[in-house]
Amino acid sequence: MKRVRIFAARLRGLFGGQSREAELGEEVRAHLEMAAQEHMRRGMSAEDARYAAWREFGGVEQVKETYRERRGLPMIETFLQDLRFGVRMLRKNPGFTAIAVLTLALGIGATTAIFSVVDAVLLQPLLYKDPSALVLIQERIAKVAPFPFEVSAPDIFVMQRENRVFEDVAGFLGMRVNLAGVVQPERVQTARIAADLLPLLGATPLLGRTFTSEEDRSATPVALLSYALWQRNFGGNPDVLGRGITLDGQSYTVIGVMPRTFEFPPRGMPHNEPADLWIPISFSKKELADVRDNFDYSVLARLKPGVSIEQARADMVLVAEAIQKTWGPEALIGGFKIETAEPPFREVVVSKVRALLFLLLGAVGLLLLIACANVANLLLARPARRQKEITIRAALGAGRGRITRQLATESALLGLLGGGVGVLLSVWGTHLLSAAAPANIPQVQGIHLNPAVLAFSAALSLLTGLIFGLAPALSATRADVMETLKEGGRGESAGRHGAKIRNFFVVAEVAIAFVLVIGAGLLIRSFIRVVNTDSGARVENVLTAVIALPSAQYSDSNRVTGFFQHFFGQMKNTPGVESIGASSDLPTEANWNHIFSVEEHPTPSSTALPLSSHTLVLGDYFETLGIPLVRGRFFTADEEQGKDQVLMVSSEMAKHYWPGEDPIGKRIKWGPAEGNNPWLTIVGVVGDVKQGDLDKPTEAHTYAPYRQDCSGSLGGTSLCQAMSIMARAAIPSTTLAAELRSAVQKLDAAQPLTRVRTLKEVVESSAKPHQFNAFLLAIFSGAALFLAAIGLYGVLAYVVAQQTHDIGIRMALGAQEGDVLRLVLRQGLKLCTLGIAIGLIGALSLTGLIRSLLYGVSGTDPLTYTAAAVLLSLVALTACYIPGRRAMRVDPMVALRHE
Amino acid sequence: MVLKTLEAMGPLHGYGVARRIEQVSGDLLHMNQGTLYPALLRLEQSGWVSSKWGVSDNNRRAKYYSITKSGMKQLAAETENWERVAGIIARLLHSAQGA
Repeated sequence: MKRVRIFAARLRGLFGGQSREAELGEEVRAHLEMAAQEHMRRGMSAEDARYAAWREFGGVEQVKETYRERRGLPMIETFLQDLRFGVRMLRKNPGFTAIAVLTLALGIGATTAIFSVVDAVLLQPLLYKDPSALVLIQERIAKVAPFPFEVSAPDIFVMQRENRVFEDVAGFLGMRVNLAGVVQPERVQTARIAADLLPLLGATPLLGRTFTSEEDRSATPVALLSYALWQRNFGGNPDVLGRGITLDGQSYTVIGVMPRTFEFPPRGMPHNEPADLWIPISFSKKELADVRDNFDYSVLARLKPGVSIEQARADMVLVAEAIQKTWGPEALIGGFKIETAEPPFREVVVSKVRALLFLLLGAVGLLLLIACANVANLLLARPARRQKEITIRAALGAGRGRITRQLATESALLGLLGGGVGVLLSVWGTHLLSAAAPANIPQVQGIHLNPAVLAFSAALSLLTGLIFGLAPALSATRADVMETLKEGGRGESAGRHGAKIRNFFVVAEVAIAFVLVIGAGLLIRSFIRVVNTDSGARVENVLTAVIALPSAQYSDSNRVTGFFQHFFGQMKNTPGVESIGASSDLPTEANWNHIFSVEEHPTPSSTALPLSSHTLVLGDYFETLGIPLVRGRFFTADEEQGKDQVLMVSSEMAKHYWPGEDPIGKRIKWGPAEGNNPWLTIVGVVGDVKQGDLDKPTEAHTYAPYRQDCSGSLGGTSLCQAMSIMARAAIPSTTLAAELRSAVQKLDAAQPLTRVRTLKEVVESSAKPHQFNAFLLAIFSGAALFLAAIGLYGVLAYVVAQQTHDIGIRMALGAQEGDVLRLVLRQGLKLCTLGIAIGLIGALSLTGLIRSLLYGVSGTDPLTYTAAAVLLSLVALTACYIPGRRAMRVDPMVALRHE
Repeated sequence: MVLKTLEAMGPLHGYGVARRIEQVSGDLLHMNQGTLYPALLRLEQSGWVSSKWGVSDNNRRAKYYSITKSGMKQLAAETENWERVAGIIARLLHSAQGA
């Protein structure tokens, strides 16, 4: 209690400094006067009396100091004093302050921006309830494929019935549908989801309600909107509930709107993208009966409390047996094996981008280190005046600790200022990042500066302040009082020791910058490699788009092919159009795989059946994309009508399955050789085309005429209803797009032409992540290079200023301008070379971190290393040249008189 | 000591306290009068004395200190404590002499 009262009193004592000080002075004066008067009464002379009073009182100033220390809280008081002094020092050197603050802001801002991404993507939980208990379930059938894949509809039901480890099991399937009956018809990503899914995720609607299990079972046409779609197409109007909309020609009723933060399926999840619209999964009879195929549905489950993933795995072995028992001989090839998704759900989502994010975080960390080293050097190279001030303080009795505290306060202040500006920079940076981030980075919508991120940057600012402030502070206080005072005006009391620290910092900066430049160089080379990878198609002058014909009107393949025939006919009459075709997918965006058996080359029963990407083609597909015919022929008109069972295959497939043989006339069959599917005869071999991203290997590919796989009643199979079209024309793509649109309008005014892109855009979009990586690291390494150059320049400029005298003597003794310049450049290049050598070791030992992000370039690519070294040397040379010229211009007379 | 002085004399300025202590001790106790002020400040911060500005006998502005209620209590406690300790020591010394 007493302590609290004293503390409060002392806290009050911190304020109102001046009036309290006056009171103290007054009180002491009163005391002395009274004492003197009493002495005078006893007969002393006025002067003796005053001296006697002083004697009795003791040291006036010491008493006052003791009194002051007792009055306030000395720790805080000195801190405030240091702070005031620091602010004054920074204000007095605006140039120095600006450079230091901006350098730090750059480092802290970049680090904060990247950290906010890391925080959103890796540290923030998925925006679902208790995500650690969520698991993804896939099926694993060794005979079908070596990797696990999605689950069939009937198996989901058995799983729901038989498992004892999950609270809930829910399936979902993404698809694209045409949204109509709204202001702006568009093609939207939709997810068919089980009624249990949203409760399983812990998601509740913003407006209205979610659908019930009953609605799911009875296939009630109800829909939930995403916040974005609601804003975009319904103006955020709450009246939307109960409204009718049309999806692929079928009417649905809007029953709810999900909150803005809700995203499902999560971004970055394989084969899925966030939906704008959710409808009940409502399995059709056909889907439920298809035991041997239709492994299409993603399955999410929530573990019961206390159940580990291992227990779940064990239980799923029993479920697999139950499935085998349920379907008996119908079960595909037997030997079902079901596993929970290996890593927890969250890992599936973020594992892809983890390497990238840690690389970026490492890169900005290095950038920050350079910034710190730079500011430390700036502090070290501050004018000699400062050193004198410190020495005088020391001479007046300030201890080393006290002076260090003063300097540390100043650098912490700098750090905080830099941090403040840095946070402002990072606000801008995070916007840039979330806009530029490739679509596979999950939770980018969650990137923002939250308290955790701000706390991080505040801590970072203080820490950097300490790091860059410590060395100069220690070096400054080390100075010998006598020496400095003796050295007089010339200063440089930190002498050799200071020079050593400065050189160390510059070498470190150059080394780190070298590492970053190499990293950026490797990523840029990867990006160029990816962009220059041949997709197999001739991408110039080709425009693509999607036409999705609703199953209600175009229920049968004749109607679909009829539409496209008219459409192709019209387009071919358009001037400039060379050829036009349609297909089920586009190069680099293949989305359909078939397992197959080769006649005469049976697959050993122990290994999985091979897999090929499969594309349905219509019209002049190969001509339009410029895919060359290697052997055999294209499909005949009869074959295009679906009259024969034929295929075209890619060169890769021909080479792999019929090595040294002529593949024309050979036959394959979808599924196992003993299955009921017909044998398909190969009639032609075409050039290889990339199925996925350009940096992925090219795989086997098969092509069939559209009508061979889509004939008669289509039953709403989206593969047969939505086609990509492609047109090659010598006219500008905007004109071509308008022509395509009007041709579609003429045939069926209700059909939108969506996803209009040039083939070049389609192909290059797979290079986006590489571009993002290269772009970011290039920015960081550019900034690092700039800071290192400034650091080098600063040190040399300082050295030249210090050596003006020496240089003057040299010149007086006959040194030429060139000699002086060489002298300075030699000093700079020595530091730079040492930095590069150390950086080289660092870069070589760090290649492992970046390897997974490279394509077609080795982590020790000599070209990149050489280019980086040359670039760095050039920058260093430029940085040295400016102080070098200044040295060259030294007038020996002036320099000597300077003494 | 300061508290006792203030209790005995009523409100007093710093010089008065110093003089009084010297007088009572029969000028045996010579202190640096200045050291009194930090002590007074400590007592004030503890809430045992209060201060206000007043005018001295010869018309000089001076800060007058007076003892507060809790100061009285503290004085009583301290006095008692001191007497007990002094008593113990006295007895100790006596018995040691006696032995």
